Amino acid sequence: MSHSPAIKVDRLNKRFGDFVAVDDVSFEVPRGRIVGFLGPNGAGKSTTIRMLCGILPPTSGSATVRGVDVVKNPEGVKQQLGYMSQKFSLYEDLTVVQNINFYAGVYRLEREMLVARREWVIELAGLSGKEHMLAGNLSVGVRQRLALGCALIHQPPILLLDEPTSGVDPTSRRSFWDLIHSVAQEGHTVLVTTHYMDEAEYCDSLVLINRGRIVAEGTPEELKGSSARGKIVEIRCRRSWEAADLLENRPGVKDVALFGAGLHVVVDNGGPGEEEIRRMLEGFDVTRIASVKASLEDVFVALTRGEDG
Amino acid sequence: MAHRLWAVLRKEFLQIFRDRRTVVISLLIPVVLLLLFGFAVTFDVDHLKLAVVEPVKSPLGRQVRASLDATDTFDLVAEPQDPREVAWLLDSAEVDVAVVLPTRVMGRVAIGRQPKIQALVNGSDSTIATRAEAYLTAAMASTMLRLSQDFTVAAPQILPAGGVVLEPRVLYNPSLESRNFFVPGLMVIIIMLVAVLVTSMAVVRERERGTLEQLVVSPVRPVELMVGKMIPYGLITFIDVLLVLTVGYLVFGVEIKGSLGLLLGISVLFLMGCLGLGLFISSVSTTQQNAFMVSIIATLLPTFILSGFIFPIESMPAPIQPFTYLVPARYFLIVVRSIILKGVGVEIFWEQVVFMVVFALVAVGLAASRFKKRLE
Repeated sequence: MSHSPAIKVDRLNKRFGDFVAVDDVSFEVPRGRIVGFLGPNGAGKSTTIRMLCGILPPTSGSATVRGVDVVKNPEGVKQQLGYMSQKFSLYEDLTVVQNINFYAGVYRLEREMLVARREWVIELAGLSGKEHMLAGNLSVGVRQRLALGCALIHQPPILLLDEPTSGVDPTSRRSFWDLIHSVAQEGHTVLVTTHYMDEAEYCDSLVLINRGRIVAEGTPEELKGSSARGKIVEIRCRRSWEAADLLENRPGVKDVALFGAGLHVVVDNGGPGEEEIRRMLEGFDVTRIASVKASLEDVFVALTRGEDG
Repeated sequence: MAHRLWAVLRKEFLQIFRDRRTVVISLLIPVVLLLLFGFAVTFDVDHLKLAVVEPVKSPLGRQVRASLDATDTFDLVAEPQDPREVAWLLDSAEVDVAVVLPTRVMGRVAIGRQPKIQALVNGSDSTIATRAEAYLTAAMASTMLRLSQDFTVAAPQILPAGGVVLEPRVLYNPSLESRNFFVPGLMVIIIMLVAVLVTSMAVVRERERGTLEQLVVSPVRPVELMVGKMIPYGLITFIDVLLVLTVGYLVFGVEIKGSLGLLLGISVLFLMGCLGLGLFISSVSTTQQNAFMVSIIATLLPTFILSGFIFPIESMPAPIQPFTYLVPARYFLIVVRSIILKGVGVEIFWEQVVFMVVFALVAVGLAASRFKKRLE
């Protein structure tokens, strides 16, 4: 048992009528790791998470959470999991302590345990002295930390986070990720869905999903190294969207994507060089053209574009 | 189980007390509605505007005027001399009823012929027209009776001396006040409306705020969540029952002739059905507005029309009558009227109680099955 993965997903399928939301998905989450589950909206991330929570039965395939089968024993799975979504799920008309007490009661914490865990959550959220504030009056960042604390009230070995940081300012996001790392240090396994590429960099390993299918897996470094399959040229120029159209169908150009204020162009090895591209873009006032290392976003865009075709 | 139910209960109570506005509204609305409807909804017809047309004054005319004007039913507002003015008075709604006495009326009485008196009634409101006609007939009969005592020799045929005289005695509501009949019915409607409305917010509010999602992934069982929500709202609506009964007694003088304990006990049964219905509506709605609309449509309309509150079920067209069995207020209405007005016990209306048990079981069962689906 001790060597079995925290989460094991085996050929999981979910269909809603004719629509295939999750298509033959298999992956594993090793214990004590932070695994990022990446994909565009509607890729099947949340559907997969819901199946892992035991609240949505899969059409076929299986998934186990610490050896507990989500189909056969959904109630058993619920005790193993802490879950938090972008909605934060706090009762805004209850105080900090009342929220903690409620979730403690739902997970049937014993009295002494409750007191200890309550302290822990308040510390985690940095809410000492504000225990009797209404949750609705807390700032978004603090509320998010409190929600995380409530999700961990019963010390679940596994934490599922479904887009926990959407709608949160960058500073709070950053400190929230520090929190996730410290939670992982304490031995919790974390599976987190996100579509922020910068957040993906914080994960130990990543699973990329698009249109219900897994398109790549590995550590952020591995993904950046393997998947570029060519050279990435960053260009800054005027009217970049027109430039993108112009470059799109040139021989040797695999992909063009708008990237910030500029363009990222993926060229084949042996494709057009920087000078050649500069000549193509005459009239666009190219201010910068340089080869760059592939970012996760490049990888992600390349992989999901490939699926489109 | 007990631990989790307790957690849900405590949370619900905390939220209810935090939200004072809702508490006040759910306690105030029934009282306000009862007062409003109790005073407004009445089928007793009085203060009808009356015109008496009498081209030539006569003792009979005086008698007629006096007897009609003496009651609350009619207010004498016009006494035109010319019968042709009557049409205008009725057209312009200056009067509701006009009584036209013929010229030489006394002459007819004197020679022993029945006098013919014309009554014109505005029939555009059939309730008013029917009542007015009945009152007029009764008033005329008594006037004639009195007259016949004065003119016994002259007018022997006015009232047949040996005729059958009906002496009606009205039971349960001797003064025939429609208020006594209506207030208990209003209580039923108001309690149902408030109970369904208040609970219909319970689940959908959590869905709107996103907390339901967290409950779904937690080990809370559907039954725990449901019972945890039913108990607090059940308490509030039970207080509503007490309030409504008190106001009915203090303001409208509606006394409970039968057993108060029995009435309260059956109210709890009815409330269970209503709460189940409210929770069911809440669990299928996507927004609070949505739940509000559905609650109003599901309770108010059918209850008003099909429960027997206004229209007696026996007088409905036969194809409509079966539908009234689908309106739970129908059963409670009979029970409430039986206990309050007649003072009878459960042996008389046990069938209604059986139907109410079925309603409660179906409503709670439906809600539970929706909860299961939503939560698992």
